[in-house]
Amino acid sequence: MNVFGDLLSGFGTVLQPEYLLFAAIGVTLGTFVGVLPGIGPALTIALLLPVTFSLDDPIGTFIMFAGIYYGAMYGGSTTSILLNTPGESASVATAIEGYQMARRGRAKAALATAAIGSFVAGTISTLLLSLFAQPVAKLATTFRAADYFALALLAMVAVTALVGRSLVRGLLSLIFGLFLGVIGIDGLTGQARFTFGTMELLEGIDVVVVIVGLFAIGETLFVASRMRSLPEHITPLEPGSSGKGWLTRDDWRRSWGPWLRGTAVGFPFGALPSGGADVPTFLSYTYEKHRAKNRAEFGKGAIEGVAGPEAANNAAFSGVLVPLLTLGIPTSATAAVMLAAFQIFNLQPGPQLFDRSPELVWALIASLYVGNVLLLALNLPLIRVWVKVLQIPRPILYAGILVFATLGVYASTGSVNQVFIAYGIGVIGFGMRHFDFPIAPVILGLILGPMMELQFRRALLVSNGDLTVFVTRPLTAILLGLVVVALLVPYLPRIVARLRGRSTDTKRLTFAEED
Amino acid sequence: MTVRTEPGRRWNSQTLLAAALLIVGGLLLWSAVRAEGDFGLQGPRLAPVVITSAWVVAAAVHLIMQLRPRPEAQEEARAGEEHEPDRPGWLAPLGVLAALAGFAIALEYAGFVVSAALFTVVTARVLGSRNLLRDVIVAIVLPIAIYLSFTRLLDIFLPAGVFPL
Amino acid sequence: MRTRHSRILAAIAVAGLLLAGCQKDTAGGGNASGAVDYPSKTLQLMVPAAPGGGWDLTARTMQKAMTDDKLATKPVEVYNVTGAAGTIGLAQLVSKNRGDAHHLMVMGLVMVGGVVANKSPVKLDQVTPIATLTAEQEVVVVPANSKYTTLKQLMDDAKANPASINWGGGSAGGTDQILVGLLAKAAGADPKAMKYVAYSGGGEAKAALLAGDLTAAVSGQSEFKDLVAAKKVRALAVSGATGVDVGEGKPAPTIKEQGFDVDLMNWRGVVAPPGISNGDKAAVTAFVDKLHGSAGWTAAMKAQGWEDFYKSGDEASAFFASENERITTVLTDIGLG
Repeated sequence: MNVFGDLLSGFGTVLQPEYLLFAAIGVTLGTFVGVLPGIGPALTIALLLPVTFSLDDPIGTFIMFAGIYYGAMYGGSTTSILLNTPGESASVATAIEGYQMARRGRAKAALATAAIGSFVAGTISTLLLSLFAQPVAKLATTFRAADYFALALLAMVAVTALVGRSLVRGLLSLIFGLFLGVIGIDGLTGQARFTFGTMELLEGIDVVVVIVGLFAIGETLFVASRMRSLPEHITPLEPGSSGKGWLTRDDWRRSWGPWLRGTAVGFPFGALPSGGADVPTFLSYTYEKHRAKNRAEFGKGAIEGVAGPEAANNAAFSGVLVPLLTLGIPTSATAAVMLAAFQIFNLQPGPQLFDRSPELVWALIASLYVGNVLLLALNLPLIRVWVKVLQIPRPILYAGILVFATLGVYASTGSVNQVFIAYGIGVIGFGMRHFDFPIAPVILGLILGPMMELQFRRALLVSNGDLTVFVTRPLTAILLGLVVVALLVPYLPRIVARLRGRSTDTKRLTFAEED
Repeated sequence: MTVRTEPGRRWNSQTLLAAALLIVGGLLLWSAVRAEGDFGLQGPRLAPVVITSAWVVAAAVHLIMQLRPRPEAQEEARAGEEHEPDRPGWLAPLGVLAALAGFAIALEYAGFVVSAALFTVVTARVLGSRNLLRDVIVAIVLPIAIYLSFTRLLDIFLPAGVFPL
Repeated sequence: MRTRHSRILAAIAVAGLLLAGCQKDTAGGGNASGAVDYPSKTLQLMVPAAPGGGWDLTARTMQKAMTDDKLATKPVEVYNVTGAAGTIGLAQLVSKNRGDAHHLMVMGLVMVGGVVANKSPVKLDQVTPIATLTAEQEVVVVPANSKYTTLKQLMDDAKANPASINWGGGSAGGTDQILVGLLAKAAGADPKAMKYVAYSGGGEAKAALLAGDLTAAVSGQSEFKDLVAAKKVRALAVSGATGVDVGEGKPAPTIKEQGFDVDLMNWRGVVAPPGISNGDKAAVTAFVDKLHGSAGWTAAMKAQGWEDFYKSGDEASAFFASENERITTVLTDIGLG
């Protein structure tokens, strides 16, 4: 298989001026819609799908689509960093440290590490996609329901650091997220749960609605309650920011590791059916926090906490393309939309796509490289413009955020009732901020909870209720073993000390040590 | 008992919240247990019971921790006060919420442009803006720009309402 | 002082806007001369699902054909109301758009099932049926290394030992599960005993079939085309009246040909809100008839691989009623009703 020859001819297609224009339009459109507060990549793509639909050229469509995706992803991170209003679960982890950086006047550095990290991760993962698409796809289809359950459980245990300072409050947030996750029709039996007899809750509460509510609306209400004690403008730009450099030498030194590690987490997770881009961002965040020497800086704007998740969510996209292109299996909302776009052109992604439409596939892959470069070229200069957003007077800025948040929910669900649900969740988000409950665990519970429950029940259904299904498969058993290890690690020093017969004065290595 | 100091008051509202969480959790648990269907491991009714039970337990622990007087809790609260010299205002968030509700209700009748324009002006006022001219200009330009670019350029449906744009 | 100035300015701005709006409207009104009287204003097409799905594709193809072939001189807008197999959109159409003939909704068999499975308070017989447009056959597939080579073998085992067969497909109460229920009934097995594992969308079911969680998967016929052609899965049967090619290069056998009296098409159609006048209904039907006859629509259907499944007027009404009854019965038998 001559990958490089194919890829080269792909570049030959994409580098035609006409297609470069498509890519540029896609990146720009994606960035500008994605940057609207409360409107994230998923929404952007859903909203922009009709635009690609009206093109008649499949190659042009997919080139534009890749551009839109990268643009939207980056635009979403921009508002997460500047305004703490992520529009999708994959940007929630970015918002944690990014927003703190922006508050301390380091918005430019946060945006730059996000942009460059996205570029690095996008490029590496696209390379991985070009080289290893087929073997990775084969691996991905060996995962069975029991494995997914074990994987979800492992992810849940691994990211408990997001619980924050107080264990009980963090748990309550997590449980609230789990609760939101069971609302609606049960996927396996069609039975309604916690819908209280209403139609609106049948479909469940969409994660986008929850995120817009908790962040964009909750944040605005919180700001409103403290308006009098805040200056009219949000943050001063960093002192001496007139220079050209986006990142200091120290920022570079601290960013490159997280970029690479984020890529390493994001790509394989994206490739797993039922993986997606959100879980790896949380894993990357947790890992960076855990290994950082300056852990105290986390929560106050540590650049590693932006660099890692941003790399992870971009790398996940190339990962998502692996099962999509090789098997026709969409593993995320975006991929499902892309599958639909393929079908619009009467193309069925699958094992034969690489043989039957090689020019399309390789043009698409080549367009990912081009999209990445364009994204960097567009966004590094734009950072200067985006940070100006922070100089908009607060009343106008937050009124605008609410308009966009409402618009986003309404345009994607087509229902005023969903807008009211988002507002209701916004009130809860406000209460959580007021009473000092962490927000991120809610999203975590909402994403991982349903995955755990569904896969657990599917595994049992498939095995006729035999619980040994979780220990008889080697893959499942290994993953569950890792769960046990992850649970024990914090207590290891104590156990070792006890075994050696010493007193237990060794400090417990907990995730939430300020507890 | 009258608690005059700020930390005490804050501590007290935390306790009330914990109690409220416990009550809500209990009600949800009750409704989860009462539902009809399969409570087995494979069935759809087990997860709600497990989750709401966890809720009740966590809320109970939270309440106990709040009721137990701890020096750190007081300290923490006092530290929090230092960061926020002002007491949070309740009028502004309530005003914003009222404006939001009005926006959502008006959206499909008055259309996006009109309702968003009114909402922007009102909300900016509630949030303490003193510059009405600026607000009005933004409130007119922004919704029209959004409306035109969404409906004309992106082909995304937004309610036109009374404005025949 | 400043405030008063700004109020005046605001008033002027609003007045200017109104004027601009009016001009635009009169300009638009001029276009309509000489065209048919329906649609006489902006036509709204509701898709009761998220963008990217089958209904969305149908609606956007309709929109394209209507505007490209100049069937509608007024704008055609598509919007999505997501949720619960379309029943949320259905409820909205009935409550908010009553009597408005310029508001149509795309729907299909999945909604018939959704109304039953979700116990929707709004029923399909409350809307005004206009037409069915397209249909897609269903396909039953097994992994390439499966011991089953015919549908009969599979159904024999499903009847003798239901727990040994893991069926998989789309959402609970959807077309795929309906087909499993109908098959079980036709084979003399207990529909309730069939082990059906629901997945969101075809992709997840595909992965589960390849990974070995499922014995057989049920899906729209185009979904597995590439995997069938690559010999990773084997098609046992398709659900229509005549066999179609699902990737083997020759038409797959139908369920009927293999001795089970089951015929199921995943059809899509269009309905109008309740309470429209008979005249309006006739105008909408005539308009959709025209759409169906247009060159753009025919070409699009061919490109998408959709089968023509056109019924309008009384024929459509009768078909809606009979499908409603059949689906309600089978879902009740499965235990979802």
